[in-house]
Amino acid sequence: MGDLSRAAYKSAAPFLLIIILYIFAHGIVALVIAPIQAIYFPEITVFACFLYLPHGIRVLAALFYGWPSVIALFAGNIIAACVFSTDPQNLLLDGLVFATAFAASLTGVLAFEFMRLFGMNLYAGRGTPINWKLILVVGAISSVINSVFQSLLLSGVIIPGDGLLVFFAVFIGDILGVAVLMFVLMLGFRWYRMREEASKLS
Amino acid sequence: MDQFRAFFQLRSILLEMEQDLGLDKLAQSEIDIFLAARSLTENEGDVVASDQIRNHSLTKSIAQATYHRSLRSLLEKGMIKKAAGSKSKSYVVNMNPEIVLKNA
Repeated sequence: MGDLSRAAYKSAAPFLLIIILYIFAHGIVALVIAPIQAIYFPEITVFACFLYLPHGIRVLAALFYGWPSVIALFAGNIIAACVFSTDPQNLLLDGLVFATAFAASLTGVLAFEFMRLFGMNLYAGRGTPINWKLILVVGAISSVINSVFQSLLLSGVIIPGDGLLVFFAVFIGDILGVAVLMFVLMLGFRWYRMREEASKLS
Repeated sequence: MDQFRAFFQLRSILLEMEQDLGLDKLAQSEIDIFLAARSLTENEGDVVASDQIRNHSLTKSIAQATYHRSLRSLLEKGMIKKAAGSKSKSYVVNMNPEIVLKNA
């Protein structure tokens, strides 16, 4: 592999990884979580989900890759919308899909920038010690930002009276999305470590 | 940041999370039983039968005596509770993370 192609791979790999993980997380929401939620809350499920795993990907992508992650998240969001939509052709003609996808892709980075305003540069590799609690705090801030964005953008299509419910559904779904994703990743790493330790002993 | 540095940093953050939640301080058999019971619980307050936990892939290989000792230890730590009004041996997983922290 030449130097140029190696460099191209090195810069493209994280973006491809973010896109793949983002589409995968959207898939879990579209195929598993949303259908269950639709049984109980059919009127808001089209706008928000009470357990929204892609928000966890947004926060972690922003943590490690900062502003450039917005491009990967936006691309992943549009691809996921097409893959899991029943009418992808009409979906791409809807400007609202692009607007909500772009706004959602920004939320992770905006939360990190908000923390920077208070003197806490929490982006990875900037010298500030990061722990999981701080990531959850950033996740909560980005949930608020996303709830505001989505409520404003969707205000024209939400049934009057459901606005507050959608706001809280987005907020709760995003926070739980970050917490559950981190917990699942923790168990995944733990399982991997245990397996490694067990194989060393056998 | 390249993906390997990101991967190792994420791993380090999650290892700290594991330690803070106290999962690393439990015996392996206790962790396996707790995780098995947790995976069988869809909603908070769901009752899980002892047989279901015992037959879970995580707990099948645990010796019978160790299994019962670990189950009793989890009960004592409050991480699982006996299900009220159930004749057979059934349990409810305590979903409160403070209990996990307290017993770390």
